[in-house]
Amino acid sequence: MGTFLLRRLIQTVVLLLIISAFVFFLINLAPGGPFDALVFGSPRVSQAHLERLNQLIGLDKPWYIRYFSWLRNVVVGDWGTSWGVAYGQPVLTVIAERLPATVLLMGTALLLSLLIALPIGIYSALRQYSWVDYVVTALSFFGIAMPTFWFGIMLIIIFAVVLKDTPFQLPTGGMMTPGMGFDLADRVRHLILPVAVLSLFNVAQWSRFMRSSMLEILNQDYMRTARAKGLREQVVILKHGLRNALIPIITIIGLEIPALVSGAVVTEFIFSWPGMGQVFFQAVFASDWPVVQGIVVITACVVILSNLLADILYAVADPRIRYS
Amino acid sequence: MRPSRVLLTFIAVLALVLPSLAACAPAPAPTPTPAPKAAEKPAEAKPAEQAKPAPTPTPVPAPSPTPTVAAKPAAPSRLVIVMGQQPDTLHPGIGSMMAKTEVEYALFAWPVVFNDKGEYIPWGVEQVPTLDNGGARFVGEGDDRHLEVTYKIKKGNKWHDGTPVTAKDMRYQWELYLDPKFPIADRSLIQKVYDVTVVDEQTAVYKFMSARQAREAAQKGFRGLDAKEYADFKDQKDPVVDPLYWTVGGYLPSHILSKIPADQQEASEFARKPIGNGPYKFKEWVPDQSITLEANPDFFLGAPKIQTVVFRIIKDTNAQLAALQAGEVDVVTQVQGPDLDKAPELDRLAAQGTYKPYYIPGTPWEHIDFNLDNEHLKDVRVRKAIAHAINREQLVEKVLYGKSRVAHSWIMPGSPAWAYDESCLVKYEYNPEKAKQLLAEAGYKPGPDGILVKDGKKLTLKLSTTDAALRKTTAQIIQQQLKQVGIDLQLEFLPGRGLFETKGPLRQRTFELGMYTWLSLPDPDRIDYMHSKNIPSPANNFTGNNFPGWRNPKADQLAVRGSQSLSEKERKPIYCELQRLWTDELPVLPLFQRVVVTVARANLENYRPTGSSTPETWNIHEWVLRS
Amino acid sequence: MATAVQPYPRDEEEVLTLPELSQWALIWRRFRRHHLGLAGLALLGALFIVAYLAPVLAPYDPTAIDLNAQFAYPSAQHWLGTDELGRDILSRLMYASRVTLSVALVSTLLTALVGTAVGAIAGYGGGWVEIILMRTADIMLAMPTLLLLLVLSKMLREMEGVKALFGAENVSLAVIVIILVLFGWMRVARLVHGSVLSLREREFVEAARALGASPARIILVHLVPNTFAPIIVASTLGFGERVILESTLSFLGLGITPPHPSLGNMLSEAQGYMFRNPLLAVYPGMVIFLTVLAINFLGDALRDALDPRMKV
Repeated sequence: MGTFLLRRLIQTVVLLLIISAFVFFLINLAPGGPFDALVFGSPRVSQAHLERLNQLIGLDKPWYIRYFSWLRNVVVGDWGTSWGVAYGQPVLTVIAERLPATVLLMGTALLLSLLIALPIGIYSALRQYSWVDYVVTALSFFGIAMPTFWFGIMLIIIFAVVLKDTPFQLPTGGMMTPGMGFDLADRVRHLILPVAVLSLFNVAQWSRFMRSSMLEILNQDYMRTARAKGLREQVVILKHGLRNALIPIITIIGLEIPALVSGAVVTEFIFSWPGMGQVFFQAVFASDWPVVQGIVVITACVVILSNLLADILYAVADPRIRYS
Repeated sequence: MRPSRVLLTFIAVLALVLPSLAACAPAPAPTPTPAPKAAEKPAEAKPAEQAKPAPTPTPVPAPSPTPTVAAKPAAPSRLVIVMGQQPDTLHPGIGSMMAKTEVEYALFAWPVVFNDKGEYIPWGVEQVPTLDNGGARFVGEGDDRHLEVTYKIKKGNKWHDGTPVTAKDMRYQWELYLDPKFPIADRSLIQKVYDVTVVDEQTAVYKFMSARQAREAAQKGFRGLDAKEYADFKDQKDPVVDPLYWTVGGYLPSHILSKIPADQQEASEFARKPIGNGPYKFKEWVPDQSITLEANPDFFLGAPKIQTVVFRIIKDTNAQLAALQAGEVDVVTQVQGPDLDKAPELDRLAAQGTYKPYYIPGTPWEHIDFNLDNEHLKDVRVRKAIAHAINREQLVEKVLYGKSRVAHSWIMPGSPAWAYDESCLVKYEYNPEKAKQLLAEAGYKPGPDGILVKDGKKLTLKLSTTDAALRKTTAQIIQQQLKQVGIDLQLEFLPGRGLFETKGPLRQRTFELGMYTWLSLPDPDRIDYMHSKNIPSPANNFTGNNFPGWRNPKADQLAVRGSQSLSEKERKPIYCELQRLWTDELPVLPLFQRVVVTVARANLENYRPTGSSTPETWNIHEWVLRS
Repeated sequence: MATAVQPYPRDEEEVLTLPELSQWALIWRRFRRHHLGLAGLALLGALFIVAYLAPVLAPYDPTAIDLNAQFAYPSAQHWLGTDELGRDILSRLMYASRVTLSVALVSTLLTALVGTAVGAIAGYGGGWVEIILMRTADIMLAMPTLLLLLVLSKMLREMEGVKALFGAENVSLAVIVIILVLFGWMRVARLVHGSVLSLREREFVEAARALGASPARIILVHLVPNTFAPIIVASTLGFGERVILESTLSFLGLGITPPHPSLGNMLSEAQGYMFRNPLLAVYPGMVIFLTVLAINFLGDALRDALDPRMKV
């Protein structure tokens, strides 16, 4: 196991280097620097002035030189400063300011989705073809087929406008009511709608996954054996069935962990949630390459590490899997 | 049986808990002050602050620049202002985002302000220094003759930490803005100033460059700035002037900033937590969420009536509308706010009585650039035909809901008033028959599919623009209208700022027709796109905004003379002639005036948005929320 | 194909005379029992037919602007009313379905093709080939989709080669398909790779090798057909995802450019008029919903039908 881990960690570093170089290269293929549109707001600005502005942020050097100085700086902890989203602020600060919001949102959605999807999926599998099963299946198709941006706005309209002045009214967006300091109830109320939007899709998909995974397990021979041994139904399902059915769930969770960091652009945009997804989007459109590069590297890191985690958990959950 | 019961109970509990969380929560975010007349429900108390009904405020005198009597201390009250984007920085000298300007005008009170009536009024200084009132004058002889502009700072003009604003602060700003390491967005005006002399605590004299100094700068550079940035002054014979010379003055808290080197200012605490001299003091900035400001009771033009101002960032337009309808916010600014395509929704909101939309025709104007090097477009008859083929009135009526007007020139009516003269313009009325006639004259014949053909080439043109909703609609209508006269118009929508990039179609001149907005200064000088030397090409390092590529020697001459003169009498005929040439040769087809759209509570008094780049918050200290 | 064993042979004669059912026939039989799947297939079929017959069926030109009939209510003339430019919604919906379904279909087919090829070669080839191919898949999975979308979008739109190959008006369509394939092949590749890894140790592969079959033949004839099940299921689900992805891309400004209607850009434009005319969003939304629904029913049914362990 030790050598396996070591090998994977080395692979991780190599992968990160490749990804960061590739993204840096790609970014520079994209035409445009942060000051391009300046002249359209300030028509008197001269090209010479624009060149100077570019020079101040180092854009006058070719990309490979810039990549190596970026790499050198990253190692000592200097990830550069933003040119667009938060002019002059260190990239790490920009990220640190938004990461907690994203983790809060995505984490809550993840937890809630699991808490809802798993029981629903299990119940559906146990009561296959019952009306509950059909309702759940129908609702989950609904969730899969719904575009996020539309659903988000619908929820806002329903809960903030239609239900205005009722106890069910919810805020239209943001993480908190400005000026309110830390008020748990206020924060929770702001969380409800964006989490609902994010969870819908997850619950829809995962409950079906759980259902089919559970169904597969239920038809296995060893389940029949367990019942034949005279064990109570509950023990049979929970101890023998569930544990095996959870293996594919590990994949799912593994795939979702990167989203904890990278956020969900559309949801964050619609609910004005100050997270990583929307700042990334902003940065790309503002040609703020240091921030883009920083977020890409962090996200890639998280993806690779969570894949590793998932692989390890596999080995733990399924004793048949062994890594050389 | 049993496990299913467990699960079912679990789900039932969940279903009960979630809504009750919403129900148990305290009352929804209250309206900031006593509820407006139209609403039936009484104002709900905010848990943290008690919203006492505001005492009937003393009637605010007509906005006057002279200091008013210190008003009664403002009753605790709060205003939520929505912006669709957040500023990238709050340092006045860095960046050019409108989002920043909105907040900046609440934090800082600049010397001269361009108000909603199109007047330059003295704000932080005693008077606007012009040649007419003696505040500005020419000094010296011959090659050393130069323009001097004198500012006298008002008494009581103080920074938020109590330090008075002095002439030293004005000089400091000039020094900083000319520092080559300072990433200022636009120093085109201030770089013309050779020196700022501190006469006394209150008085500063800005000395523009003389001809000699300008030529020297074009040779050797100036204060570390490259000679290239003064290339325009290579053969300067007259003193350097600017049509808006009285706006050159400004100040920054030198006692704080002089300690920070120019290249570190962007990362400084000041850039995120500025100390200004305006009606509001900085309190808090929650990134991507809100910027909160508190009233400055010592503001020299009168203490603001509203205690707290929160700039809230709501990015999605529908979410903004929902916030209005839910009564969560008080003002929606023009920063990425609802555009004219939302006018019907805003009008419907207005009918409910709580809010009032403002549609202010602005100085920006939408237009189509023709690339004069295109084989079809180089014939002026083709351009005129296109002008006649587009029904601009209908566009204004249907797409802009009648809230704007057709533009015929780069100068908008009233902006400035002396320069706009209908008799100087060649106008193009909607006349598809005339369009067809012109095209026939130019040698085009209809092909088998209805598209015109000349010398075997189809009249196919491509229109490049951004992907904003209003532009998409406009472009598609234009496409349809041009099809009627036999022109095949392809559409290209570039997301983000793709159109404006240095390597983009405009600057590289690879476009055929380009549709976008020009911001206008309230001055007719647009030498940056009139003059033939400003055609971006590899030869001149893609400098200049003359994207169409207009070459007219007479126009060149006129443009230069117009930009060098300061006398309205002299410039009026110059610009009349220039407009005649421009509208006759039509390198650019003006479409319509852009409209600034903003929404405020119906009971917000003294809200006076402008159509220029002066933000709605310019007179925020005068705003009052009536009960 | 291997023959199936009949469940209840009654006597010797029957054993000899009962018709043999091929693998595919069995699959079809199992599929038929899945009523939702059949419904999905029928619905999908209907959608495709209407979409492809749009030029024939649509009452109006989808780009015909009539500024005097903006936002008209459904009437005999315009069955679903008109949009903000007075264009007939029904016609636009038909053409939009055509565009979106084509984009989703083509990208799904290409994704399956590319993914299978990569996965099979990597799985069978092993060694460096496998490492390079699968690590590339990992890298692409780790890449931020949005960034690449934006960058590639811009680049591809500008490239002369793309314009020449697909024609100027089809550039945005081509760009979207290319991007969807670029971001979709990895999942299929991983599935196929995993499948092939376990399959290649089986006896029939060894037998084929012993008989002198070339690696290409082994891959094409023996390995790939046995991976059809997961590929088909992944593809049907992927199809649905791509339909939704197209609409999200339009929302972000990277979708199919007007005036070509697509379900995605109709929905995101309707979003702008949500307060004025919410029905506008319901039409494309409904079609998207029905499409994805149908596809998912189909995918479910296929998964059940293709699983040989399920009883007939």
